[in-house]
Amino acid sequence: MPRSIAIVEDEAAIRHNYMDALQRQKFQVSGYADRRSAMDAFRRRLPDLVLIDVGLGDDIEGGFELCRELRSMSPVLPIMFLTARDDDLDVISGLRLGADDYLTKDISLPHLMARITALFRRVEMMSGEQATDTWLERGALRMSTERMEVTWNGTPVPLTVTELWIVHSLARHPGHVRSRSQLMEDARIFVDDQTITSHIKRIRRKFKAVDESFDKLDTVYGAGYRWNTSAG
Amino acid sequence: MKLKNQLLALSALTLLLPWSGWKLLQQLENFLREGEETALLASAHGIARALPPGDQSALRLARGQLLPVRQFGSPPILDGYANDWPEPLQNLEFDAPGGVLGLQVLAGRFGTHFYLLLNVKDPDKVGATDFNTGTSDPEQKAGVMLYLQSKRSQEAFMVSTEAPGPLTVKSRSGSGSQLEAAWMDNAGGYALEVSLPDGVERISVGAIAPASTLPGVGSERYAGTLDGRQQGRWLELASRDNRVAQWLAKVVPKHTRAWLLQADGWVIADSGPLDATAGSQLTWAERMLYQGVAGSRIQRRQPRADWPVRFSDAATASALGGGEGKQWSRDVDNAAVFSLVAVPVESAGRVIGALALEASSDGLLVMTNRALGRLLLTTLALVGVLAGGLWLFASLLSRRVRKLSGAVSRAMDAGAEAPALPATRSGDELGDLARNTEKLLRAVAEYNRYLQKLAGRLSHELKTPIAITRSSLENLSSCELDAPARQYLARAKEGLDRQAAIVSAMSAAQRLEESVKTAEWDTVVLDELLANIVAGYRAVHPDRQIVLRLGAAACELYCAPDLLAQALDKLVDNAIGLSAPDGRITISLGRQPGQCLITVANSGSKLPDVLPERLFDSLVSLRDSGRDGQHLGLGLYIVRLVADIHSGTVTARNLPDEAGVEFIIRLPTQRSG
Repeated sequence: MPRSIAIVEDEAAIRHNYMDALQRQKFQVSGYADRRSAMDAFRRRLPDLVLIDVGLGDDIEGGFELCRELRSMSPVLPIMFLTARDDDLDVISGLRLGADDYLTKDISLPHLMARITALFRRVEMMSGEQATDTWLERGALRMSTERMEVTWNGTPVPLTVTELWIVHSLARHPGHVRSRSQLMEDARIFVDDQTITSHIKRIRRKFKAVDESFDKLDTVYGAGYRWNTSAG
Repeated sequence: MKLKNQLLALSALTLLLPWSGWKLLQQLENFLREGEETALLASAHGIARALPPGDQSALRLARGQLLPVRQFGSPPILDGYANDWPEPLQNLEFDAPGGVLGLQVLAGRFGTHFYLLLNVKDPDKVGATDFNTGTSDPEQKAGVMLYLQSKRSQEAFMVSTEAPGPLTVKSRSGSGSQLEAAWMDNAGGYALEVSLPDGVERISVGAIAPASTLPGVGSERYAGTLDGRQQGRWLELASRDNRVAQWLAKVVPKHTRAWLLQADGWVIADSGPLDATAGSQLTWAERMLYQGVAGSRIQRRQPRADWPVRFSDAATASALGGGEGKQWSRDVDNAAVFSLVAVPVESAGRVIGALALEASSDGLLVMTNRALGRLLLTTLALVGVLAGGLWLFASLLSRRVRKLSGAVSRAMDAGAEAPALPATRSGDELGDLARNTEKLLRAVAEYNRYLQKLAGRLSHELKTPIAITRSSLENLSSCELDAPARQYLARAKEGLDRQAAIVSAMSAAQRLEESVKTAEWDTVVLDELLANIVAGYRAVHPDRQIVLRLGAAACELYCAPDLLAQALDKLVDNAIGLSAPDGRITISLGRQPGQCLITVANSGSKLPDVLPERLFDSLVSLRDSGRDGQHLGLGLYIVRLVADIHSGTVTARNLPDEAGVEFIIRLPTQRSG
């Protein structure tokens, strides 16, 4: 059964473009221009994935509101924010509200597709469908990009798609310094250095929430980041 | 010159005050002196008119008829020497025509005895004594012929000798009276000291010399009042008149001395010397001060004897001529000032003599000095107050101006922040200036803010259209397109990428400011940090020469290492981009008291002709637009932001000898606030 994706975006041209692109990928897409019509539809039937534009019409925080309402309706529904705004604050708010990813509108369509596919794959994994697992293990770290799962000492660490790809990029080359541009490429985003820095900060925080003594993520000032291979 | 020094120089104009005071004082002193003079003259006129007529007998003598007689304190020694005579210099002189013989006559008196001192000047060196030894004819002898007239009789004496020494001369009339004399030869001729018999009232005297070998003188020479060897004019022996003198002493004002002068200037009566400036109220210093005020216009006083015998001043001369004589003189030694006035004494319309009054003017000095003192004090105080006031005012003014100018330059440095200028509430011109400048600075600050936000806002607005274009192009690429269409599509995508990059760069500044606030802070050893960073650069640019110079002491700093790395990235990026491929880039770390210095220097470029402060503003690009236009000049702005957040500074300069450029980041080790 084809997956259904809902796009909530007030800019008609973008909405139609995305819808066309997603339809080409054999997704079932429905588009909404404002929060109210979207909520009406969602109350009737939830889609499999929602793309939300933060600034919906006159309602500046409309997108965040929508996300909150959706999350209250379904805790596992994949939600992605798409926005022209890229303030760090928004990113934090958005992710704190429970969205799975936060993307800027200048992302290329192929990248968007990749992320949507990754999100779906994770949902599938979580719902138990078995598939070939390729696990990456580095010390206490255990992750799978197909399952979109990361565990530390067995405890799952809730990372967003972007963060997961960053950790994967680092862990794949332990002890090597990965520059920001390399991390960006692996995470399939094109952002400023600061955004990468804040992603790394968030990753550290999430790992530390699981394990106080987490120190595997090294900052090599001026060069990039590195997955620490020292014992422990 | 600073404002307050200018005003101080101007306030030198107030020195006009004491100067004009000084001038005024001089005028005042003039007036005072004139006043004194007038008063003295009035006294003199009064006394002259009041002269008892009976006492004018001596005055009535015509000129040339008086032989003044000096007073001896003790009887003189008859030796021909003048050293026991008082006032030997003022004498009667007689000259023979042609100057071939000269006679000087001095008369003196002790009690009732009269004495004469005669000095004969003979240019022909033939001594009279020698001559007298040669002739035996008493009528031909050389010497002095003396006619004496007393109440009772008239005698004639011929004083001549063959040898110097004391001699006794008998009267020629055979009356038996005789006189003692002393003859002494001297260089110019001979001197004769004669003691006259009592009762003599007048004399006639003459020197007689033989014919000399001088050309044109073939006969005997005569000098004196005689007519040949006969009695000629009479000379009255006039002693000082004590009665008149006492009368004068009574009528003369205090501190004044009076002399009654005869037509030739001889003193007839003298009121007596002044008692030494009794209790002079002035110190020497005060006198000198007075002299400073008036001094140069008063001539120096000629030394005068205690008992002058004769007056020949211009003042007395004019009085004897019928007018008034005035003269001021100052005594250099004890700084006293004297005023001399002389008025004629008239009888029956004729001037028969003069009355001279001399007063010492201590009173004048006291008054003048008091005035001077007060004037000086007042004007100096005024000058001080004025100058002080002006200087204070100027200091205040210049302080206000300096505060304003300092605030303006600080506001300019602050850039986008609202300026707070002092002195904006005062009502004067400075206040106007401050208000206007504040308005100007506010407008500039607003404009700066607007510009800074502009980039962010613009980029924000552009993101949506760019997203539209991109998504449309991407959808387009999945359609069936022929080759030309694909090509156009490719070019469109290229253009779009560049637009997106520009927009991203424009919004970078704003995001940067926020990320600066959320950066992580840590105590870091800068040496390690730099080593890591430089290693990274070398990895990225293996073909460039990047040199790292560390200082001797390690620099430990509480900082945001990410930000520092970013700042260095930008600087090195610039350095690499703007220097030649074989150019050298040097990164050094230095330690100064209280700060760490990170320097990035590269060869082969020069700072653009932009104000040094503007270099570090956003959107000021160092690169000329020849290259790809994606450099929006944010690099240095980021560097400045990073320096600011560390409470440090970043400066740029051209290295000497066109060696390149150098950027220096100064980070204080003690962060303030």
